[in-house]
Formats: sequence, structure tokens, C-alpha cells
Amino acid sequence: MAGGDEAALSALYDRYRLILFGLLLRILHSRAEAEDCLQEVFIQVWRQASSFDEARGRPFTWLVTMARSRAIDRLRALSSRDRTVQESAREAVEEVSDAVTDAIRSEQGATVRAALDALPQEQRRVLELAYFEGLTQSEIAERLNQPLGTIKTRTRSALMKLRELLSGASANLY
Amino acid sequence: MLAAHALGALDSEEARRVEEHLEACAECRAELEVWRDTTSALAYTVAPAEPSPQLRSRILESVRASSAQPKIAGETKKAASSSSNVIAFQRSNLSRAQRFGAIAATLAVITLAAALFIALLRLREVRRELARNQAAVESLAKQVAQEREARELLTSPQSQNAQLNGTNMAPEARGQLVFDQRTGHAMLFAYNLPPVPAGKAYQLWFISGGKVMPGKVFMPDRDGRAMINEQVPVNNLDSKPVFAVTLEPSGGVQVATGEKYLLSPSS
Repeated sequence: MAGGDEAALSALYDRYRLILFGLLLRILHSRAEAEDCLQEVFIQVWRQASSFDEARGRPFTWLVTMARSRAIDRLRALSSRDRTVQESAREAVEEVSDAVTDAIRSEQGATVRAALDALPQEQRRVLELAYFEGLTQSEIAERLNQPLGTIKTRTRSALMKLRELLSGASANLY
Repeated sequence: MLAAHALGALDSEEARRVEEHLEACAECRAELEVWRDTTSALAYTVAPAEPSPQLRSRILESVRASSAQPKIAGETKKAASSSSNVIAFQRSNLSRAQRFGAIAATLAVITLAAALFIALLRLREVRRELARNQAAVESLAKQVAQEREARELLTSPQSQNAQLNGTNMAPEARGQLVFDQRTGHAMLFAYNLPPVPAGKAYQLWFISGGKVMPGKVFMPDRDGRAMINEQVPVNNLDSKPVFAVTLEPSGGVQVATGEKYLLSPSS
């Protein structure tokens, strides 16, 4: 990939498109937005391939981090621009994703969901609000009407526990 | 802080401070990477979904298009430096429709600019052609006027004609000076004049009753020909004036200094 060859990019796309597109749909609630975003992600992958150091990071982590961050940027831009479009799109997408879903839920998904299920509900909620809706800790505190300190503690505890729970399974995860 | 940063949950000011620190701290960069492995696993909790089949070729096409532009060396170098896995996210907030609009607008502007440019080039060309034509017309008009004058002068009953012969300096040279005895209007036609040295020109002289009066300074063409309009000082001329052409400094002189090239015979 460092040489920037198309075959490598195609391989990367073929391998990760389902999970990345699923993630983008979950965040953006619109197929069109998610596809645009996925395209941007792979163009960025192409541009930054030479800067990716396999020894220091997993491609999966790199791609997912990039995709999530781009999607959140897009989500913020969208919600500040046009809430109604986003809301109407949300319904349409949920129908589509419902039809696709469970059949292709993976073994890895089961592992992570099991770990997530092991967390207290309020910790899980914080993770979801931050990761999928792009809320900062202050925004979560406001949304849940809780002190910021509480939310920070919850975030930290949730991530520590998740890290611990996943450490045994990490070999299969990425 | 690093855990929350990996989750993308820090407020912008905190996130900025963490990023600043990460620039300088390899240990924290490695730690952040481990936290990112954890947060990225959250992607597994989402149902995988299939994008439309066309997206794959759309991506490859745009990648090809972007490869056509040469990468800036400095940018590549910077990207390859220390914090390689800290990914800088570019904000691209344009929707597809906006992007399409932007591209269309850009194309329209480029097209307009090109059309304007072509029109300006054409206008400049037309102006030049017009100027050339105008110059040609003026030159023709001048020629016609000159010829009419010559004809009038030659056919006027008042006209007097003097023949000029080449001197030893220019044995081949010949000249005709026609002038109206009343008005003094005159024309000199000269042939076979030798080429003029730099800084020199021919000058016409009127000689009458021992007086030498300066006339016009002129240059012959490449073939040694000249046709000039002149005003002869008729009032100062006796009935048998003599005309001469000498070679003088190019500005002309009041008193002849140079050699005579043409001379009308004195009777």
C-alpha cells in the first residue's frame, strides 16, 4: 500500500467495506451520506498510505478511527445545516439496515457486544453517545443531566473495563 | 484523557491540548493507539452493511484522478514524519449536491473565463487588423492626393518645368522640378540618386540672382527615387532660376556645404 497501488487499495476496500459502511450508516443514518463518507475515507487512505506504519498500529484501527472521525465531522455539519433532512433519512435507513442485519453479524461482533453487555448500562450509554453520536463529555453531561465529573469517571471506567474484557479476544478482533 | 480522546469525547480545547502533547510524546502516542484499538472494536457492535456496488469503482476512479496530480514533496515528507498514525482529519462538510454545485459553478466560471479570453484575443486581432487597414487607407489617400497635386501641377498652364542632371558625383541621377509660377507650389521628382550615408540627407536649393536659398531635406527610396512637395520662393526668383540638390547633414543646413548631386542647367 505504501507504493499507493490500486490493487492494495481494492483489497483493503473489499476486506473492510462492510464493517466501515455499517459504522458510517450507524452514525449518519443515510446511505448517500455514508457512501460519500466512505469514498472520502478511502481517498484519504490512498493519500496517507505512506504515513501508515504497520508496526505501530493495526490497519483496522486506523481505518475505523478515520471513518468514525470523518463521519462525526459530517454529522455535525449536517445537523447544523439541515435537521429535517437528516431525520427523514434516518427512518429510511433503519428499514434498510434492519433487513440486512443479523444474518451477517459476525463472531467478532458477538465478542464485543458481550463485553459491552458486561458493562453497567449507564457506562454503555456514555460510550455509545460519544462514539456513535459524536457527543463530547460536556455534551453528554448536559444530555443526561449529570455532573461532568461523573461522566468523565464513567467514560474512563467503561473504557478500562472494555479494554480489559477485549484483551483476551484481541487476537481475533482485528 | 487519552482514553477519552480515543473515544473522541474530549471537548475541543482538551482535545487540542492532548494533540499538542502527542506531537512531543511517543509514549503517549503508543498508549493512544492501544486505546484506539479498544474504541475501534465498538465498530463490531454495528450491523455490517453493503454499500452500493458502484461505490468501489467510484473510489478507484477518484483515486486515479487524484494520482494524476503530482504529490507535493514536502507534504509527503511531513506525513511520513514522527506522528504517522495520528490521523489528521480534514473537514469536508460539503454534501454531494453542494459538491456538484461547486464543480458546476467552477466549470462555468472556467468556461466563461476561457470564452472571455478568446474574445479578448480576437478583439485585439481585429483591432490590429483595423489599424493596419486604416494605415493602408491613409497611405493610399496620401498617395492619391499627391498624385492629384502632381497632375494638377503638371497640367497647369502656369507650370514651369526644370530638368536636373546628375553631376560627376552621380552621373546617372536625373530630376524634374515642376513649379507653379504664381503660387510657388513645386514638386521634385528625382531618380537614380546614390544611397545616402548615415547622418546625411539630400537637400534642394534655389539659386537666383546670385542668391542661394535652402529648400527641403529629403531621402530617396531604396531605388534612389524621391518625390517631394516643395514651396518655391517665387517672389525671390528671377526668370531663370537654377535648382540644385546637395548632400548635407541630415538636419539640413542654411548654407550649402556638401557636394552637388543634381543641377539644373543655367542658361
